[in-house]
Amino acid sequence: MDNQYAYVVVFALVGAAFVIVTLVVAWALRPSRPSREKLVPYESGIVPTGDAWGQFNLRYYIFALLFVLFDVESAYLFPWAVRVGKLGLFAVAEMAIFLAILAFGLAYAWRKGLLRWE
Amino acid sequence: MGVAKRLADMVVLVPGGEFILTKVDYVLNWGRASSIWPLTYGLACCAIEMMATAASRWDLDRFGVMYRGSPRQADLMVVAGTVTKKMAPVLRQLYDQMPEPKYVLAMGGCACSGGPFHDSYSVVQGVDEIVPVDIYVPGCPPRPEALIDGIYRLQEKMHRESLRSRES
Amino acid sequence: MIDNLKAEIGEDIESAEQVGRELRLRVRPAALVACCRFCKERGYRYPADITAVDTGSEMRVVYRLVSLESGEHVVISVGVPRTGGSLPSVTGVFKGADWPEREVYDLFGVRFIGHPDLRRILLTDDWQGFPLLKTVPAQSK
Repeated sequence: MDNQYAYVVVFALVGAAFVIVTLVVAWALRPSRPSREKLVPYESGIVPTGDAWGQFNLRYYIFALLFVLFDVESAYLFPWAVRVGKLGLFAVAEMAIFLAILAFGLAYAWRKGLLRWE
Repeated sequence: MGVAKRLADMVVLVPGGEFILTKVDYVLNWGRASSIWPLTYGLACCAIEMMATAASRWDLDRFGVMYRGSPRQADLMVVAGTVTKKMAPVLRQLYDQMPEPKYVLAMGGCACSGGPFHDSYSVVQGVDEIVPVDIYVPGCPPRPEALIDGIYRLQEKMHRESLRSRES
Repeated sequence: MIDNLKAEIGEDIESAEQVGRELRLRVRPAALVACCRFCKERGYRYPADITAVDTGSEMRVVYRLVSLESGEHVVISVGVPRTGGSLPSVTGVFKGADWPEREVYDLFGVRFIGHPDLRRILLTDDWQGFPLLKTVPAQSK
């Protein structure tokens, strides 16, 4: 048991160190001359006009929502898939009902035209 | 001024520190010189030659030169063309918006000293009136080989830099 | 065509001559817009250029109209005083005359009455004077 988790710890430490060392070395070696002119928002070199707020299209939100839903569904599928061989028919039926409910939701979204980009 | 210079000054105090410093300098300068990313700043006819230099026959990409559209991602500004007095504040602002280390290459007669528009009412007589210039490439327009030579000399200039004596 | 033109605005034409494929007219300012409209109706629909010449005694504003079908040009030149001169704008006839007229105003100082947006186009907004007048020295030394 201990041996296997030691690998995880080492992996995590090396990963963290990789990032931290790179960033620290870059910070130590780079020039740093902040100035007010540098902070002006870029608009092809002219004085920026108008505000920088653009309105995002609603489609992005809908797609993100649907994605999260089905991503969580697949997250539930993974542990089930690992153990389904030993759990028997009851587990299969249970998951089938779960998938059917979500598929019904998908069909509803489809009919409502939420899957169209235009 | 950043941590770099202070670190460098501390490192040289250690015996053998200068050796480390020169090696670090070498790696840094090699990195900078091998990946010069210019800001696309073609104003006039020299821009055509700059485009030709970047295209397949003369090819700047083999030197690591990759043109960027935003000053935030660029470290070289190639001023290719005539700078009029109306364009001058735009040029200065774009230069200001580039992060260090940054360099300026004045390409063509107009950028070097006003060129054919000597003593004109509307042309800036040389872009070094507005921004500090590192390399001047004369010509009207300079041939692609000349521009490549200018980039090469800029690489040599970068190799001469050190953490202890910042130039840009 | 010259005869038809003379019939319409005869008294305001100072001279008319055909040189090669160019018809050169000198008209008075009052007939400028009518002359342009006349030419446009006869196929000279492309306002190729509007510029000005400071002759020392007066300012001549030159309009070049081109017929894209026949390739013929009509060059209309109008005389105005060197400083403070003004002309009716031909933007009502040619939409494409908008920016060239701004350029003539910017560099020569000729005002165009009825222009939708007469302001400097090539020089900076706070520029003093008009650089292409002969009184402005070409070199500072």
